[in-house]
Order: sequence, then structure tokens, then C-alpha cells
Amino acid sequence: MTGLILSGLSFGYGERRLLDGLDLSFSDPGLTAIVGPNGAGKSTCLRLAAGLLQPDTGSVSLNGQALSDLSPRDRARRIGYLPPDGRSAWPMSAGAVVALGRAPWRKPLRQLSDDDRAAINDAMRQTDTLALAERRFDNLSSGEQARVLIARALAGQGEVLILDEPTAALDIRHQLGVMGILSGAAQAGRHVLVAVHALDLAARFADRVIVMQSGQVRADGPPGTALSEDVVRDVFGIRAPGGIRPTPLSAADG
Amino acid sequence: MPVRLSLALGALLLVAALLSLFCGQAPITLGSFAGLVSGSASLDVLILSEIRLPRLVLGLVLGAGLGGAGAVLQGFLRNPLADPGVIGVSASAGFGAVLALYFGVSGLFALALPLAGVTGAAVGVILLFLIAGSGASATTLILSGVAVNALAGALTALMMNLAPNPWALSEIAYWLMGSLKDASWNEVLFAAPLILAGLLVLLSTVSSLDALSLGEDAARSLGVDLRRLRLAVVAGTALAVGGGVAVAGAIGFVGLVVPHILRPLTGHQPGALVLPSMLGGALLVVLADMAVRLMSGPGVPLYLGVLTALIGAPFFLWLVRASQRISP
Repeated sequence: MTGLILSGLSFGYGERRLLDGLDLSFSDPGLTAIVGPNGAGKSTCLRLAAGLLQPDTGSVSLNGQALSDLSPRDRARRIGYLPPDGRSAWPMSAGAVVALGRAPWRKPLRQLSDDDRAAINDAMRQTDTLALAERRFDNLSSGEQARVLIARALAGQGEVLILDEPTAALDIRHQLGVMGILSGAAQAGRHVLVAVHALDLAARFADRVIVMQSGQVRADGPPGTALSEDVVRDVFGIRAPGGIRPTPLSAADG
Repeated sequence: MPVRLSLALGALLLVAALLSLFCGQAPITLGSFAGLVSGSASLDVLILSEIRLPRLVLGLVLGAGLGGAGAVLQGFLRNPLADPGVIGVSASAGFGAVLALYFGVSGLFALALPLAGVTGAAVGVILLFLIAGSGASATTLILSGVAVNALAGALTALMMNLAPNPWALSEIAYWLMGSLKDASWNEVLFAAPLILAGLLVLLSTVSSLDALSLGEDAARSLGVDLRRLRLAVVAGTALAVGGGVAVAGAIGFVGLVVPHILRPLTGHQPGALVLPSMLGGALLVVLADMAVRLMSGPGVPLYLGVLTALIGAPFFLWLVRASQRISP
């Protein structure tokens, strides 16, 4: 079994079930958008897939290996995860933040290796953040911070990349930029799982859209079928004649 | 850059350490050092080998413990105001020692007092884990530390309240102020291995602290085992600080101020701050102890813990003001 497989996942706090018997498999690389109303279980699903939560029942496996059998370090080398609240506790430079992505690969008390430097440089080039390397992270704009944090996740070079609402605080132009970066990472052969609220972004960039509702998968497939008029009405309570389709947008100066 | 910073601090430390050997009432000359090597038993050589040297060595390791523990705690709790007092180690070590003083156990054998102090620190840490639980977040850990701190402080006050006579009370009060004046090789041999073990444990947390800058979830996704890290931080602090408090009383502000001064010089990276803070802590304690010896006349000596607090508090206020001006 290749790829990332979530089988029979249940998770809850006390009596409250957040997820109940969730089955999902990601065999081919690509960009998968996970959408759904607040509280549908998107974040829980992503944290389980990243191995940050232990499911009550069921298991997550990557290329046939259960995540629970991997050491934290091995897991970190294979799965990159970007939490929703992207802040740094200290005013480090943007370059130092990206370098944190190499933590699973570094030996204790050593300088960055050539491999580390190459991976950092690569990730910063893909996210167009090389020019920000010396700037203080907390002085960057939200859009720049988001790109630096994505570079941090890319620098880990995991085959799976999981991002929880990386576009939440961004204006439309930066949303398009971020999704473009993720789309590029998926085309380079990674499994990219991203939770988003903007259905338009999901329809535009994703190869596959998973619609979640109350801890269950409500629809799963290419954007055209997963974001149909019926699904959007049932799940979000919104009328979208003909389903959600991307509006033709592109940067005016690019 | 941290390598150069550490080298610079190390060089300063060497100079301060040498100077401190000459500091005090009895004159020490270069000849005394020659006497040390040849094994002469004259008074100045004895003062050097039995008083000044153990006092210096104790100051060095104790300061390194305070500075290192401060840097690690600030990184771990992601809070620049954290210091070894926050998780209650200093207060519980102090209470252990006060208990020994109160019941007169401290006079039974040479190391009874430090032993009681370390036991107090260990009990405090165990209590901390019992209150916080095994999966505690940084916030829960701070709150539990505040509780342990308050409890140890209250019990210490109770012991002072119940002190049978003013002399016993003053013994406790003076001890709590913190001083290196009673340092001998006995104290060094007792405390140094504990503190050095603590320093090693603290150094093992360095790369995890960096990853933790982006939050607990991000750190875990980068391969940090938070349970192990928390255990290392608390145990390392208990050893590095508890060992020091047990022999010299509470010396405040070193763990708070030193990482603060050095942080901008390490690119604000919490991991890179740890080793320089150990060196800086040692430097500050050795300098402060020199100042204490120079300023103390005959009669009641000035206590090291009093001086560090007197210098530390206003300096810290100034730091807070200065950092407000830089980043609103």
C-alpha cells in the first residue's frame, strides 16, 4: 500500500465524538483540499494524519508503515505540518525560521550541512522568500509570514505536506500566491493536504476536494463533482447554481 | 556568531576569575600561586587554596546553573519573563534548607544543609509533576510552578514565624539571602557534580527549544518529543538550580537578566542562547561576588543575593522599557 492511508479513524474528547470511522486514502501525489464548515473535523483529521494526535480507534499509515510505529524524528522527516496559528515566539530572522524546518535532519550541536542549506535555499526559492532571509519574522507582512512558514514546511522535504488553513489571514492576491506554491509542490510529487475555507480556492487549485460535515466525509472527488450544487447547499447552506466553479482570476501585473 | 560570543564570554570569565582570587581582606600575591604549586602551608596560600578557590569554583558552577536554567526555561515556556523561580525549584530548595536549619539538623554533619536543600528541590519537582500532570502544556506548568512556589514560600514563612528565638530567625533569614561566604571544598564537591549534571541535561534541550519557537504543534511535527523535553527541562533545572540554592541560598535575577542581555546577540534563537547564558551567568555571579567582597566592611557582610537583586531589579525595569521602545 503506497501513499497515506487513514483507516477507521475515530477521535473525540470524552463523550463528544469529533470523528467517527473516517476512511481516506491518498495514493497518488497531488493537491487535496479539505473543506467544510467550522467544527466539521478538518483540523482534527489533519492532526491525526500528521501523527500529532493518537486516534481512539483506527490507524494512519504511510507507505504501509503505521505512523505510531515511527519515531517522532522519522515521522517528522516524512510528514511536514503547518499549524493554523503561524507565529514565532521570538523575533528571529525569516531565514532562521525556515532553517527550523531542517530540525528532523540535523545532528545535535552541528551547523547546517550542505544538504540542509540546499533544501532551505530550494524552499525559499519556491516561495519567493530569498530576499526576506535577513528580515525579522515579526516585521514581515502577513502574506510574507505565510510564505516563510510554508518555506519552513517545504524545507523538511517530507513526501507528505499537511497545512491547516495557510490562507486564513491573507488577501485574495496572497491566497492565490500561496495556493500556487502548494500546487507546485504537489506537481513535484508530494501529497499536499490543505484545509481551506474559500471554496473558490479549492475549486481552482485542488486535484481532489474532500467535503467534511460533522466528522464525516460528505463528498470526495474532483472539484467539479465534490463541490456540486447539492453538496454546497446541504453542507454550507448556500445556493451555488451549477456548483462552485473558479472565477477566472489572475494577477493584473503578472 | 554564538561561537564567537561564547569565546568572548569565556575570555572575560577567565579574567574575572583570576581577578576575583586577589579580591578580599587578606592580600594574595603572585607568590601565593607559586606556593600553591609547591605545596607551601603559609597563611596566604591557605587562604587561596581553602577559601578563595572553592568560593570561585562554587560561584562559577552556580552562576552557570542559574544562567543556563534561565535561558532554557525562557525558551521552553516561550516567555522572556520566566526564570528558575517560576517552576518553584528555588523556593522548594530554600524551604528544604530552612527546615534543616529550624530543626537543627544542619549542625549534625557538614552536608546536612545542602542535602536538605536538594531534597526540597526534588520534592518540589515531584509535586510540580503531580499537580501539572504528565501531558501538561507550558501554561499549565507555569501555573503549577506558581502553586509550588507559593506553597514553599508559605511553609518557609511558617518556619520563620515559629522560630524559637531571634537568633534562629536571623540564621534562617541570612541564609535565605544567598551567599558564597561559607563555601569550602565540601560544598563544591557536593554541589558541582549536581549542577554539572544539570547543565548537561539542559544542553541536550537546545535544538528542541528552537523548534518550539513556532508553538507546541509545530515542534512536535518537527520531531520534538514534548514529554521528554519537559522532563529534561524540569530535571535539568532542579539539578542546576537546586544544587546551587542548597549550598548558597537563593540568588535571584541572574537567571532572568543574563538571557535577556544576551538574547539579541544570538539572533533571538532560544537554543543558541543556552551556552552563552551559562557563561554569562558564571561571569555575573563571579563579578557580583567580587563586588560583595570589596563593599563589605567589618561586621555584617553584604549578601550576594541582596546585591544581585539590588542591581537586577532596576536593570530589568530598564530592559523592559528599552524593549518597548524598539518594538511596540
